[in-house]
Amino acid sequence: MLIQSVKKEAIIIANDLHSLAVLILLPITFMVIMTLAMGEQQENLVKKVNIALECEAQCHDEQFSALTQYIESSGVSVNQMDDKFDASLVIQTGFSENLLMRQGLGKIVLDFSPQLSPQTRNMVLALIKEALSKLKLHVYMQDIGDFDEELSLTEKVDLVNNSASVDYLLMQDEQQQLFSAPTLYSIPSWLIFGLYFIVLPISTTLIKEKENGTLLRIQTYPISNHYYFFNKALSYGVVSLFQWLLLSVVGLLCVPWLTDQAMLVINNISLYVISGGFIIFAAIGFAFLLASLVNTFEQAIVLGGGINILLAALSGFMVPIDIMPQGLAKIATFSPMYWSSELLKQGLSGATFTQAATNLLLLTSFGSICFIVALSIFNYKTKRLSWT
Amino acid sequence: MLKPKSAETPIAEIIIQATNLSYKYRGNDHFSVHNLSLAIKAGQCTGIIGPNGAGKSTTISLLCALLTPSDGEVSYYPSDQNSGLSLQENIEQKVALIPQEYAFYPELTVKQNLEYFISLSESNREKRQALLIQSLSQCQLNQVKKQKAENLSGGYKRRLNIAIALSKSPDIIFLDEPTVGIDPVSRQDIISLLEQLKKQGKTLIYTSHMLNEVEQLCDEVILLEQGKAIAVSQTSEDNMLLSIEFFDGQQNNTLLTTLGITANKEQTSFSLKISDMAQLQQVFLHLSGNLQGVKNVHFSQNSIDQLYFNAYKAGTC
Repeated sequence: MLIQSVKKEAIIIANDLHSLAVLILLPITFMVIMTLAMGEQQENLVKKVNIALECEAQCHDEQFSALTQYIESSGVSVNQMDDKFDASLVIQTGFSENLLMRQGLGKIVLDFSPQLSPQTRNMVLALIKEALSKLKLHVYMQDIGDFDEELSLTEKVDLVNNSASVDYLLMQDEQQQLFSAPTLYSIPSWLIFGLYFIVLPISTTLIKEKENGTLLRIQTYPISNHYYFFNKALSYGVVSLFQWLLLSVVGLLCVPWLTDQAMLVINNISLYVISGGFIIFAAIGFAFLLASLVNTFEQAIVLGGGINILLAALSGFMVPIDIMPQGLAKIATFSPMYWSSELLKQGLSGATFTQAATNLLLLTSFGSICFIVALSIFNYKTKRLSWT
Repeated sequence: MLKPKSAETPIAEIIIQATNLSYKYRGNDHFSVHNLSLAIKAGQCTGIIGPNGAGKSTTISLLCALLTPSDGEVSYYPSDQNSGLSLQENIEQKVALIPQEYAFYPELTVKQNLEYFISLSESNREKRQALLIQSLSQCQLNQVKKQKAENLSGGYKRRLNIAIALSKSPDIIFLDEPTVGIDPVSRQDIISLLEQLKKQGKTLIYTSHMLNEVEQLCDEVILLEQGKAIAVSQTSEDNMLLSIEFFDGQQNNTLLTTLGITANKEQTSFSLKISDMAQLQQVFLHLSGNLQGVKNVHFSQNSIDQLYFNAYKAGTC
């Protein structure tokens, strides 16, 4: 019966374009888009920012030119005020006099275009502060005679940039590079998102079976509701396993290649594989719980789809948890999608089973509770089926 | 017209016995089925008819143990106390349902549908294969077995609905409007298939609004209204009526006595309900030799429509 059941569910899903889109196409699309977006944010975002730099009154020529070069060396473009700009930096009278002092009124007015996101504003602000620090060092070195008189401005800027560099102090091993790869963030998240969307095909199949009398017909067969329910769950488990394998291959190999990112390596294969089983168990349990609650296709789409999107947002799939407000970030830690994606990340980053035990336990408990409640509701509802 | 049964028809065994069944849905203040007793005979087709809301669906749900009665009980094979099978076991082993809807998976082919449903009741591979072949041929589905169910015509969909039920090898089949939404040729094919099943000894319980079909197929009809059986037409002979009219003052008392009719001097018209074919033959014998004073003899057979509409006129429907 299990083979026939798996065959049946697989054929039904394969014939349902909506299910295929939700289970396969949607997560792959999100993987690509979010990897591109996050890669862009980390590497190329500042290159797109144009800053207009202007002196309100008479400016010290060398200081103004040096500041321009320090800002440009961070990747931001500096233009004239009459060009299109994302931020404007107006140096006011008295700036040069106040530069080496530790107190006094602000002498620079920084304005951002309303289109610039808060994240980019903060990034640009940090770069301008860094440029000003370098300018301060520049002026100090000039004052104490550290620059050779024959040095050009560009050479002086290079000298300050080298002196201010701290990159040599930071040790960056391969592990650290892996953690900073945007794919480590986007691939597990959207893979999990796709797995939890199994709720839609499960709900629609159950509703169809109820509406067209199939479930009623099955009531006269020598199989119990429990057996039928778990057979169905197992069938969808097999379908989800296939989905997980496919999304893993696409996510780990194809998406990094497509988005020109470093390929992800599974550092703990056994944990990654076992995690798949636990995540599928929780996802199917949750899907059956939602499917047992809904009575119509509309409810299935709103409740099943809506809750999944909400959980994905709360779990930090759309906005990283570390930039969420503390309260929301705390809520995220109670989400099964968060536990699932963390577990996959642990498998990828080479965590041990002991380190992953909490997430494994949370998913097992969550999945078990969902299955028990779903089965009770399913039993309750099938007992109320009658000849129509 | 209802088909007359031969006098030699043996008394059929009762296969389902319902006694004083009552059922009230949660939130309803009235009983959907109230104190209903009925007996379904083996190898016969029993029609359950009635207007919408009469309690047909609830009655069938109770007979199939889909609902648990508030009162009363249902028993299968009541004369066989030693079978040791519970009501649920009897239903799982002997009963198949054919709902009005297409209760199968449209995305699957005819063969895949049958394979799936057969796998629910049979674990032996050879038996599964045999059941598949049998149900495909019985319902003449071989030529469309590789077609997706959703692409079948209405008639073939109905056949598949029936084939799935037959693939369970049931003794008792509950059918709900099995011919709805199909053309007259396909309908007649389905009726012929059901008649074949009856000949094979299957017990059919049939609900339909198509009274002519009920009449064509059923040996017994139960008319329900407000959860009660208001009329039961057990055989077609029950509906035969003989009316005799005499000329004024020429009442033939000898004939009336022979026929078992109590004479009344003021009456000129008498009627006699004929219970079976043997009685009918006797009546014709008596009439042929003794027609003195007889003005008119009228013989009629009530149709299911008449049964239904008589009940309606009487205010029960």
